Amino acid sequence: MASISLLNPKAEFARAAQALAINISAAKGLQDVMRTNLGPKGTMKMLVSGAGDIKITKDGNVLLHEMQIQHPTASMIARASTAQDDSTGDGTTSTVLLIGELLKQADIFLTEGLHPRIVTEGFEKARSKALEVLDAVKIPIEINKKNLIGIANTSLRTKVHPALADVLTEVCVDAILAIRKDDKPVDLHMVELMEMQHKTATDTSLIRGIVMDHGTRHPDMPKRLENAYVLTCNVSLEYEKSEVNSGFFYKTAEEREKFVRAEREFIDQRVQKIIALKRKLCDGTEKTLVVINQKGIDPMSLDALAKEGIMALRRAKRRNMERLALACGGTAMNSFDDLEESHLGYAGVVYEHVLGENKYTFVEECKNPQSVTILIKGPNKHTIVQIKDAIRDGLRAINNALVDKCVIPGAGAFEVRVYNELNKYKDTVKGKVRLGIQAFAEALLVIPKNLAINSGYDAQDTIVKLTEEDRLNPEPIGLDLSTGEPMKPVDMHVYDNYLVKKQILNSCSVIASNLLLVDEVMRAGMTSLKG
Amino acid sequence: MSSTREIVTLQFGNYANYIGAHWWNIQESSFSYNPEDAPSEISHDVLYREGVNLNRQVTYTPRLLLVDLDGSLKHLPREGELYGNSIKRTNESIESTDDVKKIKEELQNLSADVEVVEQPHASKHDFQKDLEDPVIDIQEKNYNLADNVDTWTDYLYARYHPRTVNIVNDYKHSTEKQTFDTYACGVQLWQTEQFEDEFCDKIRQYVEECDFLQGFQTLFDCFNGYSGLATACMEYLNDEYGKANFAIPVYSPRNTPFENADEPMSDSIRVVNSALAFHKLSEQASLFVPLSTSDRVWRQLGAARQLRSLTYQPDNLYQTSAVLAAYLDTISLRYRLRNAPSAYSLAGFCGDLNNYGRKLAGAAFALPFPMQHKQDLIDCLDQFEGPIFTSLTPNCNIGTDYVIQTLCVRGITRDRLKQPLEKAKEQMRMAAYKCDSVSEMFQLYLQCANHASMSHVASVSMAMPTRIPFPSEMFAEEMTKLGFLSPTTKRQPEEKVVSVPTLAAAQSSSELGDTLETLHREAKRVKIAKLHRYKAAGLEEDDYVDALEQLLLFKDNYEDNFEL
Repeated sequence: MASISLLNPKAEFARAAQALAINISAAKGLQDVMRTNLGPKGTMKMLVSGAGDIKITKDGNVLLHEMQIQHPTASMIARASTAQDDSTGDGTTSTVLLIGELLKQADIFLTEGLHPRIVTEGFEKARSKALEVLDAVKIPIEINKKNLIGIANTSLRTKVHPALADVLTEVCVDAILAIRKDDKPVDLHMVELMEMQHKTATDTSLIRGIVMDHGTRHPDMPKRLENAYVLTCNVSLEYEKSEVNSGFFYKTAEEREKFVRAEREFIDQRVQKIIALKRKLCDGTEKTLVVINQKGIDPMSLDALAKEGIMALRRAKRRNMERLALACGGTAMNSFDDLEESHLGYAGVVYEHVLGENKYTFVEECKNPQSVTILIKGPNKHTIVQIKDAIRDGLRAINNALVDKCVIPGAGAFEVRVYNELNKYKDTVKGKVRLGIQAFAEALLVIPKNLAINSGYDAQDTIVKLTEEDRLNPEPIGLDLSTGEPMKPVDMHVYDNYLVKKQILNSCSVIASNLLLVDEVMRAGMTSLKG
Repeated sequence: MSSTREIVTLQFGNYANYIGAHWWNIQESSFSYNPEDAPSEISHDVLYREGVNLNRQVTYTPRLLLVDLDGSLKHLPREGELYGNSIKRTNESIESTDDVKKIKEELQNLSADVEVVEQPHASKHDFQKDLEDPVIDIQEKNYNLADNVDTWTDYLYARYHPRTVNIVNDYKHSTEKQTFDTYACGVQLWQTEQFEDEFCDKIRQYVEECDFLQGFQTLFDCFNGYSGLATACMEYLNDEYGKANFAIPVYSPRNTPFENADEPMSDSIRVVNSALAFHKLSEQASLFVPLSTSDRVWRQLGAARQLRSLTYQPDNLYQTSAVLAAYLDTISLRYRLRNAPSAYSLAGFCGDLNNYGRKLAGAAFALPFPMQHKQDLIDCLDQFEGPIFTSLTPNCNIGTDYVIQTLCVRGITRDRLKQPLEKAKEQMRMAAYKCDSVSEMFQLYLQCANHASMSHVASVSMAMPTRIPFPSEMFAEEMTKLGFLSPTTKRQPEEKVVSVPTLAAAQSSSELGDTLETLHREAKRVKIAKLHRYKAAGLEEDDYVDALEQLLLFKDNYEDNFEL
């Protein structure tokens, strides 16, 4: 009897072998759900809620979030996978598969009486060896479009269907290259994602400028301007009712009116400053002025601006102020005193696009845009959401490559190489610990195996071919999913992120070891601790 | 150029959504689609917006954002029903429906296999099924909503914009235990991407559409994690927009225990949440009026408030939320009137009451306003004995002296004011006979009833509609169809009350000092160090002590030794 039951008779518990069985079955269960989604040939899942909400995805992280996981062990694995996504943006499905497989392989030895501690020691040794191999196979890359496309495409093909993946790859790589400055770290926030429920998914495109989800709010305002100065500002152009406007405080209506007029004039002066600037810079030339304000602009001010042919947008996103300055140049103004030409940005064309009740404003043809927008299109909401998730991961994958300055051959090549290396390595280790190393080696094969299964090839067949080929070749060998034959990933430009693999190796072995070492699972309601 | 003074409404929490659902229902049942009717006295554009969906149909939806937990929507798709983007579900398997077949086909053309995973179909309440059927008149049927409503979507007549519904996936909705427990959790939730980015962006989109934004009204559950979420949101609104912010913290009449907590601990958590929220509200809100149908809420719930000619089950969410929604609908009239003078704004409403930092106000309500069906207002007020309304603010009594209050009267037309000169008889002798409008007469009445007080009265002649899905079964038999009292005759059971006159007030009086004092006393007794979940979610003990001290200072604003 477990000691907890002395303290709390209602507690449920499971011990030793039973506890292990619980953890392993949970890990296997999760693995079974996710395995079909691995790799570019994995299937998509269409999730339909009780109310009819749709979600289509093959991204491991999204799936885990959508599944309502009750099992404590499963939720622990899911959390490891989410952490993987948070730090790298890729490799979530692999994490789940690998943890499951590590437990499965360990189980074989455990049922034969091996102590879990020895297995975990083996895991630990195997992990450090695997990391060595990882460093050995990494390929330093030059940052150019071709290399980045390889890595982005490998990642994106695991998230969306191939035709779309190719479109998104191009878009993501161009976006990153556009905002990248020398060797400074890239701020992914400078790529704005804007969605439009319109046309088809493959119409998703990169806009070298900014797209905003709002438009002009005055019927007479120009809807399209060319050769435009862009004034970005954070100055209120609306008459704000001041705090003391209660009915109790004014003796007469006139007194109140007077107060209101004074306030109004104050705002008018600001509007006049913009108009004066416009007259000074644009009158007599081809140039025009666009005002993009983070604060509000009331109808009276809009009216005055419209009369001058100025296009004005209100309530811009805070982050867009920063992006606009990067895309068009100029600085975001906090007051209109001493406005000068140098404060303004420039855009070749600014125009409005109306879609149902939504308006979009495009700021394009900027001179040297250091902030760009990916315009996501799709016929329905679930497609847009899917693309958005994919693009986020694609951008992260490219960014990872920029940070690592190297990549790892993909298509299961790394796993096969580690398998072979570990098999060699285990013979140099004395004692039962080598069994743990063997389990680790076997477990890694789950990745190429499932890649093969999902593409319709025989798992054993593939593994035998790959391991043999790998032994004969100095270069890593991966699986060509279209033929089922071994190939050199480098030739096909199939790359994985170094960071992703490293993170997977680290987190999986830690989580699996933790789960193996659990010898008692208990569940007890909290009793009230008074006093 | 329109001069609508828009308001954005925010609802946080399940019970807040119950109230919200009733409120929007009440408003929509007063819509008139007949172009020949005189335009309504209420400007619905203040709270509603016009839009166009993708099929180019015009929509008219509340300018609203609401937050609830996963699992609370039942049949309602997150995007709502007006703009598509969801599949119509029936009892049969989803694989066989045309929508799904089409999606699968499209994807297969792109060489991608799809596996369909479906949750069991969420059944619709009968009321919702009938709403879709144009033949059935919902007013004719008896749905017994009081007993079979599971969640607020069951009786929701109003339809929401796709932007409106925000679901928190990290916590699950359950009627047995609440997982979203502490103020600190709520604050943490606000800092996630879902709120800091997406939710704030949705607010911005609403605000961008507004020409003359008056401000925000925030309705939220004050006893659980939403207290933190909502107050964090209000802080953001003040930073970003600096407009009037009217908060309505609400208390559910059913105390659902928190996860891993027994009853005393759940009670303590509620107290701490309230205290922290009230402290934050005293900084961030322009005005806040706590609402509940129980007379005490800090720890154990007190007795249900008694309203004349009204009976309701004390712990019924559907019925109690209707009472609170009716109050909100009435009190908010002041800033929703068409062609109103500018003091009739949200800022004016809050500004009248919050002098000397008295940002907490009490709610008082009369549902129905007890007037006999052939009586004139002048006689009704003359013969009135006892308090005219019931307090709906927990731990607070109706103030009588030194009161600053704003009232809204609904459903008393000018011809019910007094008799014309030739028939006046006795009425001629009353001072009130010289009053020519409903609000004037109330002003006079309040001047006599309350010593040294200031009152603002707004009046709308249209009574509040109480058609289904409003729980009109709450009204006593002595009420007529139009909601006036008729003690001698009884209403036939098949006859329903279709509208009622109401009177709502928001009061600032020294009584509220007691409200704060009881809260402070309860909160002080809780040992915060024993509630590990606050620390785990990032609240330090010192912060709590500080908050309580501030709360005590806030209470001092209600001492009336040196005022007026």
